[in-house]
Amino acid sequence: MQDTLPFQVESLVSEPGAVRLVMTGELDFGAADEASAAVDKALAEDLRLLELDLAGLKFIDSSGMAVLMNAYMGAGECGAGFRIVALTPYLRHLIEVVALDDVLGLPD
Amino acid sequence: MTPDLEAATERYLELIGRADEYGAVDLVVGLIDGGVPAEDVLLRVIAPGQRRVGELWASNEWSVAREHGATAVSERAVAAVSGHVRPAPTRGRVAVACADGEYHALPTRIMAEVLRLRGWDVDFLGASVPGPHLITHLHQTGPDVVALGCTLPTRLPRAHATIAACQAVGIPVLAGGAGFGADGRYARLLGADAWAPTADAAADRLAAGLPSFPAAYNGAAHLGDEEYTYLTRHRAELLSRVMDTLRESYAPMGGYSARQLEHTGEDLGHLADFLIAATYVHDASLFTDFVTWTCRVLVARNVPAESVVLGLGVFHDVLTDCPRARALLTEGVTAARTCCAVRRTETSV
Amino acid sequence: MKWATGSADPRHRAASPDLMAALLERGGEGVVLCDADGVVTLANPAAVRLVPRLEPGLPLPALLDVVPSAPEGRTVTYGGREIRVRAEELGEGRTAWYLTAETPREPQQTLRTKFLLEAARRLSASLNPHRCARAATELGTDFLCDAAIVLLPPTARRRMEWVRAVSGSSGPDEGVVSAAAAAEVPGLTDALAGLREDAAGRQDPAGTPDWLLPEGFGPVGHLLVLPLPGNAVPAGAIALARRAGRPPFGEDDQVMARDLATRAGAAISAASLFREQSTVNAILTGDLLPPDLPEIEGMRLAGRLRASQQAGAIGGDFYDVYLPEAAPESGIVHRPPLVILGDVCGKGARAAVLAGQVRHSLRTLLLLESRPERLLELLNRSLLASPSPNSYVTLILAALRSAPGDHVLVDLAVAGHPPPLVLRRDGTVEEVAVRGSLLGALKKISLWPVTLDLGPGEVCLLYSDGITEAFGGPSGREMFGEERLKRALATCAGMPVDALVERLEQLSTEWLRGGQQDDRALLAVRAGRGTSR
Repeated sequence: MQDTLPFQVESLVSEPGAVRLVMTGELDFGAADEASAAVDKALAEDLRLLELDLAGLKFIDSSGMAVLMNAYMGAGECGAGFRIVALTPYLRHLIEVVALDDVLGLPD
Repeated sequence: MTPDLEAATERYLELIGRADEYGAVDLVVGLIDGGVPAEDVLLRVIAPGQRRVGELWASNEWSVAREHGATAVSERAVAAVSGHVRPAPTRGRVAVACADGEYHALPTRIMAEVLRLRGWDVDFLGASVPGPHLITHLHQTGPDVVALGCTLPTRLPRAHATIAACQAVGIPVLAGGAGFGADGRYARLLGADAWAPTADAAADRLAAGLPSFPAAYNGAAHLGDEEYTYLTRHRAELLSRVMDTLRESYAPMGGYSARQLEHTGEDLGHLADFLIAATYVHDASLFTDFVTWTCRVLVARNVPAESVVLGLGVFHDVLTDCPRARALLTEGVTAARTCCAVRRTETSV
Repeated sequence: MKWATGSADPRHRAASPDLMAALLERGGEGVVLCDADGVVTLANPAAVRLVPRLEPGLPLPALLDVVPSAPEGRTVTYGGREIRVRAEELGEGRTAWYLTAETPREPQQTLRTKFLLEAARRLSASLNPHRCARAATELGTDFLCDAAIVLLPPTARRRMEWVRAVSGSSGPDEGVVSAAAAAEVPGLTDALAGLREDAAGRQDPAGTPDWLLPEGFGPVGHLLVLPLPGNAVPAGAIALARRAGRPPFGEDDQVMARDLATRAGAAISAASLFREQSTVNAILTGDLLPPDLPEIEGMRLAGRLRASQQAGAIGGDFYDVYLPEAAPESGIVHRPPLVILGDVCGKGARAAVLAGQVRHSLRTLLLLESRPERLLELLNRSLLASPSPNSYVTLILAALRSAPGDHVLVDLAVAGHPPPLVLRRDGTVEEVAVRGSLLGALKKISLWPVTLDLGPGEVCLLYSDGITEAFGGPSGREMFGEERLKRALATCAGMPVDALVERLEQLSTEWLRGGQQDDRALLAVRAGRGTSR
């Protein structure tokens, strides 16, 4: 088995009331819990905007996609905005396949 | 009247060659209804027909697609035989499986059917059975023996793990298929409890009885040494180094398309796999036989055998720290050179 | 002691000191002489072999000194072996010690060690109750008796399975007997209740019922019947029989028999527990496995499903086929056959359960609704209402209508799934332009369904992303990818559909090269009869 890139998530306060989660590595079945926890932690604070920076995600599977969906819906439930600020062409393609590109409001 | 089985095999080959499933099924069922024993239909019509398919592919007379089509039809023909003749089990239970990674299931499937015809209660687990699935099945069903099929010697390391795992749960293993060597030498080396070259020999061997509990065997402890481990772990890196070196030293590769490069990569990958397998079992002939076969297949496709000599040479130069693999490669180069020489003689005639 | 005296032949003369020394030197028994001060004056080689510290001129080792001079001597342990020591007073304070290694007990000890090793090896191997029972009976005949029979506890039908080994015959045989007949075995009822009247389990051999032993076994001379201790209830019983004329089961034999019963009981009860759980598991997962694909007039189907290695045989990928009702009653909609292929979020049993729910929901919905978009909308609603988290599903729904000239019209609706590929007769491969939202996430989903026309021999391939997202290849870290899948599919023109699916699965597995794999699903529909060209 080849070395896989470990998943990492970093939480930045980009502006007051806004949290940016920077995810890197492979967001798969094994990393989904860690990613979810980071999302939940961000949403537990009084949040106005949740931003995801996914430019460093090398791979994502259905469990990872579920994390993104949960983040989107969790933000909606908290009354916070949701935005993907950066992503790879591959991830964009996947989001288009599941036809969530309009909903998630991808950057141009 | 005894039907002429050789003529039937010719006809069968023709039918599977055009993927005529209904024609092939009608033929084999007709033979059985005409009084040919089902075992003969399997072993004297379908199996030889299928062997010819392999030869026709190797000599580039049949495409891969045609070969796969014919094999799929043969699968159906075997299924038709087993659906047509269903003896009640009178003997013990056998689990028949292909080694992990082994996709040439048909010979093993035929063995399963012959055992069934001889009165065994057979569970056929199919192609490429992962070890944990097989062991779970053994715990659940408790068969008397596992019959393990392996067609390609590159699956031997994984077959070895499977044999050991079956024996560890107390079930003896009969090894069969060309992958264990024409004389079964790798079956013995890997500690299988028995070996049979053909499906009917397997049935005879099982009828003679195997120990109900496998004997403790430590003869294979030396397999999978440092060099084998190194080669397995660094296969990808090794291949890309060989590709790079080849590209530098072999000008025509500069003009290869992406697909041609991928094919070259695959061919080199197969050489690496056989090299690794030969390192595992400590047997040069495993490697040289494959080199000779590859040369034959490539020559049939108008690729000069010299390219194999070249490729093996690069492997040799790259593998600085693996004396055993280097020795194997030297023998491989000799084998490939012989093929070049034969080829030249043929051309000059 | 007798000495030869008065012979003329010097060779027959009384033993000389040399000869005496030679006798001592080569004798098998250890002889040690010591003086009144307890200093060793002589120790023959046999003695030194047993007690290396013996040396003339040095004091007698404490070991020997403390041995009381009982007439028959006593046994001491020295250097890991038992030595029998006897002392004789020789007058003038001198003592002779005679040492012999205790050997008589050794064979029994060796046998017991061998038995324990073999029992551990054979009984720990299998998680199958019958294999454990076989191992137990063979251990019995190898070490203890002429015939060993394990009886497993009665089933719900009041029948008992037995496994029997007889020394000298090949492999154990098995059978079933009614619980009533089994009760004829002396002591069996008690043993199955976990009771033993005689602690050793000895039973009257005359009471052995005929069925217990094979024909020609001959009269039984000695019989032991012991319970196999299990999970608080006995795991069965074992009967050990020796033929008439053989020695009875001795003390050591009985210890070994109890050992055998204890170990066999533990093995069989663990195996029974495993069997029970795997039976339940098999029932629960039965519905989650892919269905056998039916024959549908005018087309051929083939499918392959591989679950990720960690998760066993089930996972989040699934496919299914829904044939129309043969004679739909009023109120049940008429519709063509439908195939689906999908992927639920996650892996393993949890994902498989959701996949099973989706398949069942669709089966129910299909009684009332046949329009693919409407079906997906309803399914989406049911997933949104699901209490379990991450109920996200991607799905392709394909209604298959046969059309004249061996054509098949495929009505495709895709929800968040990679679009199907089409293999045309000339070997070109197209990606179908169809897409739609994933299910289980949004209240309102968007779908753009299409209808596809397959000519005879053309193939529509549905697949899951486990195929394209397989990491491997020459570098080990490259994704198989859609392009490679398309190229592979293009080489399959003219193949029967099952060969095609098998080839694609094989290519993707080879690409993985034994690396970690995700769930992978393939389902192909080929227009026309099986024969190509």
